[in-house]
Amino acid sequence: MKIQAAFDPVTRIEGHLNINIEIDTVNGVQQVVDAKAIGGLFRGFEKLLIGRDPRDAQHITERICGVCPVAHGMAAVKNLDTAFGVAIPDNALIMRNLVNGSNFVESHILHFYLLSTPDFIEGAAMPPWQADWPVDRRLSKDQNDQLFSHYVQALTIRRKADQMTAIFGGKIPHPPAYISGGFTCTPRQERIDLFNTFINELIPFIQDVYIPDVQLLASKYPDYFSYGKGYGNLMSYGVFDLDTAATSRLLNRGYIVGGSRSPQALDVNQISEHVSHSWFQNAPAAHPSQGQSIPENPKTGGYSWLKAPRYNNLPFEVGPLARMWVNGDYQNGISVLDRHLSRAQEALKVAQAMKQWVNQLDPTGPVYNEPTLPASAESYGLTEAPRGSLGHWLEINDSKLSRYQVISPTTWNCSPRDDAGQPGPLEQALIGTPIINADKPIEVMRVIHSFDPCLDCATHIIRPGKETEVFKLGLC
Amino acid sequence: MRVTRRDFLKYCTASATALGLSLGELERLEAALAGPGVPTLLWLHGSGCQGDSVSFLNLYADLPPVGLVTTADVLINYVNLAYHTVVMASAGQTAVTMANQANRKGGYVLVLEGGVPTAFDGRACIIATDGDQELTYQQAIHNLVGNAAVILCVGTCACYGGIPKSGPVEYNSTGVVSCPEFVHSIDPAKTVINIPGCPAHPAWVAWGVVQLILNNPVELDPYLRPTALFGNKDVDEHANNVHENCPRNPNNGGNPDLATTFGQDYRCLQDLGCRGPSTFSDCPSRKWHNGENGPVNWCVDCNGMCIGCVEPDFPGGDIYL
Repeated sequence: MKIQAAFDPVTRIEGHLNINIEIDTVNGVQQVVDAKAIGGLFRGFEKLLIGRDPRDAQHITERICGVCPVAHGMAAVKNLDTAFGVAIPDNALIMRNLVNGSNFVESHILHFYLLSTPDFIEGAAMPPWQADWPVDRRLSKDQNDQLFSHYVQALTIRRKADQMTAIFGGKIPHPPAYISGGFTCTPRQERIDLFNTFINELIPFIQDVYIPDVQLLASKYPDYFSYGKGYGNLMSYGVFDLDTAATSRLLNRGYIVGGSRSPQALDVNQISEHVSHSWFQNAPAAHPSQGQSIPENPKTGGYSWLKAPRYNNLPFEVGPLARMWVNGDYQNGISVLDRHLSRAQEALKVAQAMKQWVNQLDPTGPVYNEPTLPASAESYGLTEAPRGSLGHWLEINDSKLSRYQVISPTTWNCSPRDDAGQPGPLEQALIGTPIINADKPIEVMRVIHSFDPCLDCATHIIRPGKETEVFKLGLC
Repeated sequence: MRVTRRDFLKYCTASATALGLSLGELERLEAALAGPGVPTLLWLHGSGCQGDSVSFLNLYADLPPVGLVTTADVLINYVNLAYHTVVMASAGQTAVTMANQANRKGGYVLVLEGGVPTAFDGRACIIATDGDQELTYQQAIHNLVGNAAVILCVGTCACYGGIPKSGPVEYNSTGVVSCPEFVHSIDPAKTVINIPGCPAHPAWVAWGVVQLILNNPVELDPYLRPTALFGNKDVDEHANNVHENCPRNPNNGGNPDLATTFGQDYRCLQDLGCRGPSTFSDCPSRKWHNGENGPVNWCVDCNGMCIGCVEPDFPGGDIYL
């Protein structure tokens, strides 16, 4: 007998997500046979940018997301650097990377302990930790208690990671130091010293606590190496430019299809967005610099406010596993546990790189080259947020922003079906997941959380009434 | 052996065996501590970015008369956080039921983060499904205002609408209204306290929670902000703005040469567009990202300028001059 279930709200994510699943028994195994990911929030950001001074873009777009504001700041200033034709000093490149890298470390620690471990352990018997579905707990009592004590320790450690982010970023969320032409903050020696103090505490935590904790879960839940695979299509825009011309990056750009171990070069022109199953008027799939979105709700076949971005008309998973896979750092497999393990290993890789970068700063060197605003320009900026690929596209006319578009990571991962009926990556990853107890399908939460969804960026803009022009921001 | 919530925190932060306690014992401890005096918080997210929740996780503040307070302190010792979708273990109907149970009991603090989208019958922000009914943010506030002891609006989006409400009226495509406006359309007499900021400083939020626990009267300005945190010339002609309190102000011993471009340390940023002269907060003295070694930075010290994020008209017009 088929069972329909809705999980709304999906908690321990950022933003509002509703997952509808269908459970049935196939070949004697009770499992998920269908899944729909429904994003329920939209706001207006691009319209607010239209007519603004282009230099304001990072301040406005950072506020799309309280969890990954740094990546939006980075995408915005890279975009503006291109539009303005300005080269940035080495100090600025390094500080941008240090602030973004610190946000990666903070976000990954937050994700594992605060958002994911409650799927596997018993926390304190009080809100907010009271367990919903205390099923399939496999850790011993001592292991469970130790992991929860690490959860509480992580509250302090992630706070310190945010302090580290603010050393150069100014504050977080919404760091004010990102600016086209460079960076506003200076790498004074006491800041370099303070950054070293924090990174020297964070690296041992990642090595000696975070990674072993993920490995402990992996040893107790080995079946989760075979759950939540999905398509095996992975994509990364690349991040952490190692020179101002971006000829090399700490994590490379590229994509793979069907679990291939040979990454291919990415062509940004192959990105398109589909709307046939989104609450937008049907239109041909279009590149983000071209697409139109006219809201239509209710709509036959539509079930989400998210569009469906595709590359070469294929769904792609983005995030730490995609980055580490494309870069050749992690190719063990594609699953719930592989996402957690690659995320933890990426945290270490980025933290160790930052320890090198911070000492390459020149405390008295320049940080900023003043750009000249062009009358018109068209450009884009690509980077990676902790949870995946982030792109901003813009147009400038009369020295003002005339168009702004964002596709954020969770738009890729949590997209609905596309024009060809292909489910989004999370939807596909859920299908086939075995369910022990249909009343308490903890397995579904574990698969969802492995993607680290962030729906705060569901900021489609709609102008109701006669004017139906719609600008869209994706999810991050 | 009598144990307290603070012992519990020690237990958690030290190690599993430091106090010789098991989680089973802690469960009994919790039952004993779930008495009166610990306020229940229901924390809802609307048209915002959840950055105020993230900011709150950074709490490390000395708050008289209670002393040093951290996020773990607040969660474990000070409040019963019955609903907060980013951190709560429960999901789906179980989570919604916790909010419904708190509603029936009444007397909770309703924390609102994010403005209220009213267009499309509120469906610009669907926060849950209750039974088979879609629950919008707007409807949830409707349901929860009546039995709330007080409404705490956290962040500029909740307090004033913020970025989603900014720009010309026609730009407000989801019909966002501020939470105080929406709450007072339901119950004009309901007490609402605004803690603005983009994000709200965690110490400001904790200060508000502590005042509520201590049952202290909180003086508010015309924008419903506590004057203790956001004292301004509307209520006190002697109140100083950020510029007047800024260490970079030449009148306060700052460099008489003003900044002419970015990246010039210790110089006043007013010629670049700094909004310190029209902004009232305690940022120049409190600064941001406090920890064991003191605060790390703030918007002016990184030359990023004050952009007036606590003010009702934020984000306003062009940021740079």
